[in-house]
Amino acid sequence: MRRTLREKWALLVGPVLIFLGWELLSRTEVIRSTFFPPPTEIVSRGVIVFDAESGLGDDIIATVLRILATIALAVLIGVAVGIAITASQWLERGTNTLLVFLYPIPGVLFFPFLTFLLGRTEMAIILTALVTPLIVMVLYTVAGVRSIDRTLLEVADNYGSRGARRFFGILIPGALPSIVTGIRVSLGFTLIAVIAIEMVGASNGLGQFLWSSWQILRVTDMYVALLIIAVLGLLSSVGFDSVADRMLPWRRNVQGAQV
Amino acid sequence: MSPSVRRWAHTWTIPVVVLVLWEMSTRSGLLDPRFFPPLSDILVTAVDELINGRLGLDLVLTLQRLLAAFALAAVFGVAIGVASGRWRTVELLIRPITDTLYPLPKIALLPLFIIIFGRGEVAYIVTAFATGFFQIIISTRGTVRDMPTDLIEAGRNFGATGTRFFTRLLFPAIAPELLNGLRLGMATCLITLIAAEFVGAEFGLGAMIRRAGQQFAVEEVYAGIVLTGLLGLLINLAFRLVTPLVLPWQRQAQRADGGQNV
Repeated sequence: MRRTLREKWALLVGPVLIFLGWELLSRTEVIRSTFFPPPTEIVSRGVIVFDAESGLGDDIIATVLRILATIALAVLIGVAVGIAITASQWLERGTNTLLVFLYPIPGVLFFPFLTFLLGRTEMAIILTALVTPLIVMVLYTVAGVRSIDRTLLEVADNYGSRGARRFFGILIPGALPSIVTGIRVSLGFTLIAVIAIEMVGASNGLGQFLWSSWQILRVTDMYVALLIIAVLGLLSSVGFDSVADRMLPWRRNVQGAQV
Repeated sequence: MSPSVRRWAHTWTIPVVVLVLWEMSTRSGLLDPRFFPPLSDILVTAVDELINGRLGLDLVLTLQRLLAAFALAAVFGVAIGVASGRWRTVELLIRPITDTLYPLPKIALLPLFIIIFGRGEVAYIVTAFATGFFQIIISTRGTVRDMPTDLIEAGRNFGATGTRFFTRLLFPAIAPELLNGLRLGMATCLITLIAAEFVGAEFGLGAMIRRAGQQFAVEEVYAGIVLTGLLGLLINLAFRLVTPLVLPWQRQAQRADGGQNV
């Protein structure tokens, strides 16, 4: 107990050293404070979040809503498709080949194409952001269904579990640990995609704020946006883990299949 | 049908059907050819642009950036990953930093790197490097920490101490996992690099796609996307070819796995 407590404090040493060093170097102009403003200045500049004129508050809301919409669609469609294609080896293996080819293509690249089709609309943004998370959700769902014990499936079959009962009673709970890991991975990709699309093609959002602060050289504002994006990143990884571990205590041991 | 033939058929039937359907529905005008050009046209455009147009230069530029970013990420990522997997103090010092920066989309750092390094090669390379770097630190750290303690003890007793501990014991023990981590690291480097080029560069594969998109050159957009996918496949293939050369003792174990890794 004592050891873990001491280690918790030790975790603070690294960041504190970095911020102290940065603050000192910046205040003494060893590094140019126009490019590296002292951390205290960045944090105090953070109040622009609540300043309606800067629009940053609205940008945060826009980005978060886009992320939530994308992830909701990815989970709904991805899990349904993932479970459906496990019904046949042809579908499963064939789709897998296609998805493995598409997986390493950054989703942003589909943005020009989707804007041809849909114009510069919210729909184009969300569909572009959806590409990679959707692939991830399908792959993780398939891996999750594959990880279900064969005997369990056969017992369910023998007791006449079919249709909706088989779906919600066996397949979903069995694949859940892998699906949850998939959601965590998807959240990371969604954040990347939404920020990148906003940087090139949206009229609002954190990515747009970041890019325009850079273009007009409002360096401190840019750091504020980076800080908020970092917080969103932490929420989607460490925050998500702590919630998921509480809701699915058995997940820690299973951790889902590695894709 | 023998199992391996059936497996092969399972794997390739749907992709081939999709490609044929695409070709047929675009040729027959069922899909609007302005938005969905036939696949054969896309391939012709890609080859033509590679030989006669700027695409060849863009591709070479992207590959150079990728290799530079990956080389840096591999060297520093493995070094820091091993150090923090091995020594608790190092881990406690860098853990909060890696935990915070790993999930941060590195593309968001591009403006910062452009400010620091100017609008040149370095900014894109560093952005791609940052992605692979944290990915490799985290996977290497996990691998080193998962090393069985009895293996370490046994090696120690047989005199693997000091530098020999690393060269004779640690690296051979973690090599397979390490290579897998490096493969993923290189793939993430590629993803971020292309995205960074798309957002902010003038040349390179990503920039080419952006340019083509602004000129409504649909075939070139597709050609760029297909090339990016092929690059991703190439990375996987390269690692699959290199692994048995570097780790001759792994061949047996891999065959037993069936090589079903994505």
